[in-house]
Amino acid sequence: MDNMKLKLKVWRQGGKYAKGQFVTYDLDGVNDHMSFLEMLDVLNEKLINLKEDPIAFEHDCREGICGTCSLVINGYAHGPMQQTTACQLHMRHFRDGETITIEPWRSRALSHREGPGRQPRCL
Amino acid sequence: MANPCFTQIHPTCIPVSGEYQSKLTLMSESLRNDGRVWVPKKQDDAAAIREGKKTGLEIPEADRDYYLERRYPAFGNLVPRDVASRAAKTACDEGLGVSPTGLAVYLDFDAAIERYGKSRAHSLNEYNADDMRIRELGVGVIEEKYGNLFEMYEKITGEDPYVMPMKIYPAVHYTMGGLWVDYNLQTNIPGLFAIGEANFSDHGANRLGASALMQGLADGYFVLPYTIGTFLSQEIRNPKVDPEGPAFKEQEARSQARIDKIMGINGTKSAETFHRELGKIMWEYCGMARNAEGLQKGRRMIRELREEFWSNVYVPGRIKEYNPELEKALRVADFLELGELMMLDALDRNESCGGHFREEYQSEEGEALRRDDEYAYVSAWEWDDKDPILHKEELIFENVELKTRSYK
Ligand SMILES: Cc1cc2nc3c(=O)[nH]c(=O)nc-3n(C[C@H](O)[C@H](O)[C@H](O)COP(=O)(O)OP(=O)(O)OC[C@H]3O[C@@H](n4cnc5c(N)ncnc54)[C@H](O)[C@@H]3O)c2cc1C
Ligand code: FES
Repeated sequence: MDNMKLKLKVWRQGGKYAKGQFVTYDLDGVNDHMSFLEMLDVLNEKLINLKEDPIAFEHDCREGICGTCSLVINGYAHGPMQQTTACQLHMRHFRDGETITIEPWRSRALSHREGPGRQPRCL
Repeated sequence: MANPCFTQIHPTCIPVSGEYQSKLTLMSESLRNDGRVWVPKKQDDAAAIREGKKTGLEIPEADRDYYLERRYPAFGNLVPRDVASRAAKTACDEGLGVSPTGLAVYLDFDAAIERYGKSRAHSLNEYNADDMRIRELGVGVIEEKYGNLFEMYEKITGEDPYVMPMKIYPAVHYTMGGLWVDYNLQTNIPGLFAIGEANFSDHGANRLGASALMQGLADGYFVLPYTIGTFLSQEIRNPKVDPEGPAFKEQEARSQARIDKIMGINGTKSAETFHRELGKIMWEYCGMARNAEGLQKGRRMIRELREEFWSNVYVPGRIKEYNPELEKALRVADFLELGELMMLDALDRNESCGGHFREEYQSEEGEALRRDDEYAYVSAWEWDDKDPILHKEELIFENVELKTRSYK
């Protein structure tokens, strides 16, 4: 299938201290052979063409080796597939018309700025 | 930069599936220990496979061409990477490719599954095992040996390689060239040493399996610990370098100016678009097989692309934030220069040697023709925006004799 339509709910935040929020993007023309990151590349190319800020995400090997691609997809680290990094997660595992939530990895273990009353939601 | 044209192409990569792809994933070469490479003998069969009307399983044995086994009977599927890669290209150029893009050959484990199945049945004393049982046992052995690779292949392609033969195609893997260093692994900038994949020093024109280990040991264990000490011993009495000094300020201003310039262009095309265009030019004109005309054309195209880049790239975001697009744009700017240098080096080297195959220099059987009399030198290039300058370093062999390899 090469024309999947997706609704992407992406966490956007200008910087460490900026207030973040979810922004929803409609993306069509997604090929089911694409990896999750390639799908985001396609979205970014569209955003750049519209002179909007693309989504910044980490990646390195894109081969499932290094673990740099640290996205939380639909509430799961690296997405819902077992033993699969986000760069090796392919769009054939999603449904046409699906809404996908994409958030950054949450790691607060070393943060000393957070008071006990401000614990992040556990994922 | 030395020997930039020597590029290793890896024969066992997962083929192209679409324009959006960020890379062609490499699978371990160990697969060729047991996999047999083939394409259909008939163009009609290959066309039917490409159109999805047939699968590889429907091509009878007699209509398959195990071309590596045929052309290189002594080494068969285990010929070196450059030979296996070029042979795949030849097969696909003849219209025998087996994926919708026409750029793929089969890597088939069927014979290995049967062979291992029989031998396992034998060792389990199952002398009456039927075909199904033999297959089951054979698949078990293949799974033990290559399970992780088969899983990776299935993840990416969505096809089960235990059932359908794998499809592979060559892709760029490694550049034997790199930063020029002297015998002590020091670059032309005093105090800047380059070791490992970043330098050009160990591989020559080609590179064999496990050579990263060799290079890690050679550069990092046997050479650098001694040579860097020699350098530092002369520096030890020097006062600490002042980061506010003029050299630092000058370089900082230069880097800042470059960043400001690239952010200020505010054109219409993303860095990614330029990167992809550059990649296509490199693959087309400086890929597995090169010729003078193509290289000249490729160099012109890169120059035009570079001009367009510096007048029309669009880098979104701001300077003082995490901005991967800015980082990418700065890299693509470098790649545009490096790509041109690769074309130039390939053009200068009028011979076929290791990871550099020039169509004009091949034997009647299509094998690489080296020209040691004229080209036994390292090409060390000094960058110049108009015309990079070549410094030749003659290769002198004292203990070994130059030979032509043969895998027949
Ligand atoms: C998928 C794959 C499979 C391979 N398989 C084989 C194989 O089977 N056999 C084999 O021999 N070779 C193989 N290779 C090649 C081999 O792995 C590499 O050639 C080798 O690891 C290179 O080692 P290196 O130390 O020179 O460089 P690298 O391992 O690349 O190290 C460079 C380091 O520099 C760091 N760095 C980069 N920029 C900066 C900076 N600005 N400041 C500070 N640090 C920086 C990087 O983070 C990295 O840690 C393979 C390569 C790949 C990608
Ligand atoms: S980018 Fe390396 S594992 Fe995903």
